[in-house]
Amino acid sequence: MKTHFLISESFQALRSNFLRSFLTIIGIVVGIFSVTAMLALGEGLSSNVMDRFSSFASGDLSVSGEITYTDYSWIDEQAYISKSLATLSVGRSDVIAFGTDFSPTTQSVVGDYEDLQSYEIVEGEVFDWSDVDFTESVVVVSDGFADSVLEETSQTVLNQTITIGGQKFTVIGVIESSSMLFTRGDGIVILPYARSVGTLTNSKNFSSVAVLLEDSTYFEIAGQHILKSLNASRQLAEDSEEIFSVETSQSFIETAQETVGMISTFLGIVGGIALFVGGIGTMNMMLTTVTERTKEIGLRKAVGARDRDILLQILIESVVLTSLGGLIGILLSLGAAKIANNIFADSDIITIIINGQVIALAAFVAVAVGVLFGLYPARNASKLQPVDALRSE
Amino acid sequence: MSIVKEEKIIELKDVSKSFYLQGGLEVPILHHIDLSVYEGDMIAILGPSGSGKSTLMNIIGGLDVATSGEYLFAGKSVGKMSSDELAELRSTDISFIFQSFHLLAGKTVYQNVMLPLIYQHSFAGDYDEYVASALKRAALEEEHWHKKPNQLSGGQRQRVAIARALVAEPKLLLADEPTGNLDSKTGDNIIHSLTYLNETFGTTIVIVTHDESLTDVVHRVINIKDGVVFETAGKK
Ligand SMILES: Nc1ncnc2c1ncn2[C@@H]1O[C@H](COP(=O)(O)OP(=O)(O)OP(=O)(O)O)[C@@H](O)[C@H]1O
Ligand SMILES: [Mg+2]
Repeated sequence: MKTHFLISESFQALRSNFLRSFLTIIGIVVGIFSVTAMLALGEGLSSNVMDRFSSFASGDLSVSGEITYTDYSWIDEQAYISKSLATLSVGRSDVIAFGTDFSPTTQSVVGDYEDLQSYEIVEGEVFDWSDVDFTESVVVVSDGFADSVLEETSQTVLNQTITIGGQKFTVIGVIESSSMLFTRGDGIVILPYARSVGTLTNSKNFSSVAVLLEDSTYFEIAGQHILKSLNASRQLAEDSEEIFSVETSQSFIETAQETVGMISTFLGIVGGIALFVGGIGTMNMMLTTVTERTKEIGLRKAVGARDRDILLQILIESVVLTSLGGLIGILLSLGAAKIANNIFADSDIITIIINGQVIALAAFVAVAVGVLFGLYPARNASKLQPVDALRSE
Repeated sequence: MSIVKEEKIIELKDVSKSFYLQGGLEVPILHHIDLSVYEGDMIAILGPSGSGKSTLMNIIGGLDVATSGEYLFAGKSVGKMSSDELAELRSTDISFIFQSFHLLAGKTVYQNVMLPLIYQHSFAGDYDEYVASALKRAALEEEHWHKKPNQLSGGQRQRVAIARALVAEPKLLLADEPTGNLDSKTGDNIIHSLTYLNETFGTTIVIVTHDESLTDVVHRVINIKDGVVFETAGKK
């Protein structure tokens, strides 16, 4: 039989069983959707996400724990350290601007802020990040905070007074960084170290120190050395992670990779199960169709259809069914990707990429499921003897 | 009056057919049948219900195979044909008009008639032309061509079945009880169309019936009783 007849025949057959066809392809839709999502995540990670993660994990190493000023000074003095930045989390959530409450991240930083968080000054000025004796009541805020205030109160915060923990501060500058640290919630407010310690926070300890190495290829040795020395000063075992831990941007990327890998595996399993169930559904539907149409198949054979014409007809019907499911699944995943990318657009955490390759692979899977699960019913149909088939009621 | 040629189109030699029930029990239906039909002939196979007429017809039409004996179609042994060769035979040389029409309910008259053509992979003609010509030969008015079978009367459906049998321009036309469920007027019309086909195009026609009145229009009458055939004279 000629191909265009085959295809139009199968569409006609599926249309006459619209509801049943529709229900059957739901499994395929879910399966292809998951598979596409899985492939897209993998693609998004490999091509795009890595750069963002590396910029997030600013610096070569990040030391966290209860780091005293002495610890920080010691780290900073090491010959293999080129730049360093210590961050103290002030942790005040009671920030008021123009009578409205905000909850930015409040922190103090000491060290080479410009090198580790390459920022740009949007407006105003910044204070000297490395001056640990600076006690004036001024703050520098991120553009995220300035935007939040503008949105909520319609006022610009620059050169205005805000209240943190009941104390008044003047905003002297607004800075902007591509780093995602600046994008959470109400942004960031940075206070001078000497000003926040003692009056706004009881802890003098830094929560983390980020460093740039003279030669970043030695990140592993440097990391081990720092951890070992800090542990020694507390009489802890060399590689203890009780108080301190050292993360490399490498390990950060690995963690991210692992997480995305886990999501991918999960989607893969869900997709695989859905495709299997959908495939069984397709097979069931095709077996039913063949039984219902035994007489029709007998007639087709009586007027000259060869075994292979019948085989192809049923097979194409099955493939059209799963391809439609695949098409819907791909369209849904394109829509979902768009929505997800819009949601995450600000945070730059992840980009979901559905490219031609992903679509082609998903389409191939849909067709393959149709062939795989349609083959058995199609073979059954093609082997029907015309007399027996015509006699069936 | 048509010309009956010298060549045998159907030649059954000692053909027997048995069915096997579940459990292997053999039910013999046709016994040692010898029958020759020449090209251009028009014959009737007459016999009581259950005598094996349809069974014989199915063997002649290549829908079923004999248990023993040999069946030659135009000199070629049908028993030795592969399933593809049988399909080819049914596609180009033999057409059936079934007792119960067997029209596809989901398709229009037009699509039903076209069906045999789409399975002819060597078909190079114009589909519309062939279908229209077949429908005209079967005397079905054009207003019915795009209806579904369930919108037609029994006689009209019968004509669709005839058109479908004619469209591939077969050498042999097999009609199983073509007048079976019809009133005598419609039945007469159908016999008339078959006679016309035989006389005009020289199509060999085999009609299965238990209607004795048909013996007047055919050239030969083959009687079948309990699976054994014997011949009585037709109008020739
Ligand atoms: N597949 C089968 N399995 C077993 N027995 C069968 C089968 N097909 C037909 N028969 C039997 O063979 C006998 C002949 O059947 P057939 O259909 O050829 O009769 P017929 O002469 O066409 O009868 P009718 O005039 O009623 O159509 C019947 O007794 C029937 O029961
Ligand atoms: Mg019969």
